[in-house]
Amino acid sequence: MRRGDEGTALVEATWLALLLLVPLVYVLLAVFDVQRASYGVSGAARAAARAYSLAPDEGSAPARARAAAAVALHDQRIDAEEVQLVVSCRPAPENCLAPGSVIRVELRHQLRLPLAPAALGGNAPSFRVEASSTVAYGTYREDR
Amino acid sequence: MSRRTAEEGQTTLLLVGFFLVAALLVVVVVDASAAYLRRQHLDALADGAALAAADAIAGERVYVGGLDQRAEIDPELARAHVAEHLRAIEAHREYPGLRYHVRTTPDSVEVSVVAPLELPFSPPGWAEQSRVTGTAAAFVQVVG
Repeated sequence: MRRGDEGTALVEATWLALLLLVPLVYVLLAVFDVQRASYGVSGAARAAARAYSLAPDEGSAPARARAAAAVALHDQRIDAEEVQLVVSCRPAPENCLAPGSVIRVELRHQLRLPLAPAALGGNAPSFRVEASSTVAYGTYREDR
Repeated sequence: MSRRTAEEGQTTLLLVGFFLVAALLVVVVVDASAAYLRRQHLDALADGAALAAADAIAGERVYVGGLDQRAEIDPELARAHVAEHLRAIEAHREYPGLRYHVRTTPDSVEVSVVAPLELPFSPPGWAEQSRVTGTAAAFVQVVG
């Protein structure tokens, strides 16, 4: 009886280690993926809002904001194409770079969880991370 | 033989112990990065508030005494601008318990925002609430 049990401790230990480690590692991967995306998006929102408010004219401002966001997103290895960027201004939505205007940039990113099988298609588990940044253009600045 | 019996099941215990230590490390890392993420958000919030406060130029002094190399900031007005900015972007809804502190010098404003943070994993028996602070400053420059 004793002889039959010899060596099973190693097998048990290996199974136990796998059983405990696999979920732990997966949770870690998922948490860090979501947090990475969250860092990227919030950094990008801030950069985009600043770039927008510092643009030389209204025409080039959206492209500058997008370029600034793309740099910040690239740092966290997020594809800028997958991120939705919305700029809104008050009080005049069509004239953002005007004295007294407040520029708000919102970024949204739908993040698929790591190792989600492609077969799930659009139903793969995913998280939405979003961030916004609001910058006042300033009352005592020239209209652009 | 008696020695052998005393050590039976030790590997399993060791593994579970290791797993607990690893889980504890995960808790620390996840909490720390959540706090860092919150600080990044609050930094962006303070950034916007400081820019809004930099608008608080002491208008009367400029009209009466003229605009020199420096446009002075009115501390009361700066505080009011920060409050208005935070209200307009609904910061209090997003960060319940948000408090702010405005410090002004004649040509700069420093805004600190403090918000409580609900840690993703709070250690048992941890009654204190964690608070995260974000700080930003804006300088006023007279151009032209």
